[in-house]
Amino acid sequence: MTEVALLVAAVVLLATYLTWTASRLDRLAARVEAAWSALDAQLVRRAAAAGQLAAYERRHSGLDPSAAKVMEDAALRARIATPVERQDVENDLTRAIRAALGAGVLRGGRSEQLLDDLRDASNKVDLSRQFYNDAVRDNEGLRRRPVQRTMCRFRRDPYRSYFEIADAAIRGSDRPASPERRVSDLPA
Amino acid sequence: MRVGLVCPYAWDVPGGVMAHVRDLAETLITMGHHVSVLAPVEDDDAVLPPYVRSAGGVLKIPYNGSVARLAFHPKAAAKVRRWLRDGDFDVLHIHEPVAPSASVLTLWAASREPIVGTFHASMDRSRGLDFWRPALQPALEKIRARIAVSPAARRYIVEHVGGGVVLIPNGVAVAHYAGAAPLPGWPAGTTGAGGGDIGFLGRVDESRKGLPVLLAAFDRLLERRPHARLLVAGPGAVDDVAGDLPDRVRERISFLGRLSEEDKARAYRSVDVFCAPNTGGESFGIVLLEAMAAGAPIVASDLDAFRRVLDGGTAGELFPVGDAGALAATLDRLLGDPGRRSELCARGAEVVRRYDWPVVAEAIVAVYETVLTAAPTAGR
Repeated sequence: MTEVALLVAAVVLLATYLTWTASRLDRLAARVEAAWSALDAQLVRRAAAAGQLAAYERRHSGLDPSAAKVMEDAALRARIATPVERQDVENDLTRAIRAALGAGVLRGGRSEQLLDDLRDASNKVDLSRQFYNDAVRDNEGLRRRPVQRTMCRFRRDPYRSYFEIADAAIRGSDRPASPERRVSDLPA
Repeated sequence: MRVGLVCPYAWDVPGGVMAHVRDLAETLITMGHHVSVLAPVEDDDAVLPPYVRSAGGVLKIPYNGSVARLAFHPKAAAKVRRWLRDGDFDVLHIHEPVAPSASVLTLWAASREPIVGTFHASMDRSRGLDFWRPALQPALEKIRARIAVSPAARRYIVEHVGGGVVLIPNGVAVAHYAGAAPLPGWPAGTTGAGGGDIGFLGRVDESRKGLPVLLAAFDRLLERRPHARLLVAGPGAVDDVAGDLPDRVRERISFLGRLSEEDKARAYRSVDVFCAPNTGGESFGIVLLEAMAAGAPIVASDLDAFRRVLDGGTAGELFPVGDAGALAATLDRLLGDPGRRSELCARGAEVVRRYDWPVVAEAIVAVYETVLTAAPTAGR
């Protein structure tokens, strides 16, 4: 009798643990997806803001025309990049933005507004990249453990890996591009 | 935006985290957000601002050299759940998320809202979190965005919790300090005539705040400046530190005890030089920001945190930690140099602008907006 009771208790405990772990995996997977959609949205916002600023400045000559052209092209390529090239293309856009802002002094009402949008979007690219990578790290940390790894075989979460790009924030003293951190500097 | 803020420490006991939460809440409200704060309350009769909801009474636990007042009991857990249900928040911002109080209870109870966590302590001497971390890991995984208020707090998180942290410094309500009126009779304006008024703010009987160093330095300073005065503001047993002082020193010191927010700002405005003689354990140095906001020239210990807040030591005079002789000499020199004092004031005013609450709150709102970008798909 005692053996049966112990067995039942063990099964109940195991079931509770597995259910709890499954909900933890769900929560982390949802967090990774949410963080990715935020990062994606901020990257798109930044590309749009950079494209608009470049287009405006090219017409109103606040920026060096060739730097504005490079920024506009980079923004366009960021909008149509495939997932594989995305990190490199976004880094190119960061460099193009830095070069463009270093090349021309921006003044005046409208371009100031566009520049504010770009500054805000760039800042949020940095924040959302950080939050996304944290989510990926927490997720991988849990999924590496043996029980969880087995459970994950039965799940259909899309695979998401770290998104590593150089700091995008625009600072007051931004000069033309400096050496950037490479994409290959990924945490192992 | 509907923001729920959680403060783990008693609302009616002044402290760094509580002041941070209060100033953040009030700044966010000024910016037009809806804010509700959940915090423990020690005294049942305490009058709370309309935006604060009580998380119940506190248990007093000695911790890290002082007494932590924490709400960690079933009644608090029930209050947390009710607050979450009533609040219907867009974002939850939990301060010291692993503190065994309203903070960790909220972290456990929350299921729907995106969570932002701010870490304040650097806790170099505490092994508490290392011990509890495996148990806390599932709760920590709920935090979508982590903020540290100082490089020391950030380093602590990176080493003990892992992962990245956004650094957003503590804020200071610059206008509150800049506009305060000095206390009657202070400063005496005797810096040119063998005097000068010096200020200290902090617990008088907590040795790492450094009052003994300042008292020893003040004793020496009186030999050169017999009319100098010292204004000491802060709670604690005065006799423990000043009991042995000779009368000629004791009578030049005014002990004001614990001050209200109003009087604290006035105290900073009442001195010719503000002194922060701390001997360690400071991860940020909020008193320096307050002094800079009030326009007081600063003499401070050469601690990493202080050097950083003083912009590499350009916005204040630094002296070797614990060196009363060097402190006395620095005070004497600065009291005799009005040009240098106004230079430090001007530099301080410039530095402190970065820490003004409207600027800091905007950086925090950017974090809220970033986690909210994802909210529609983030439910469950």
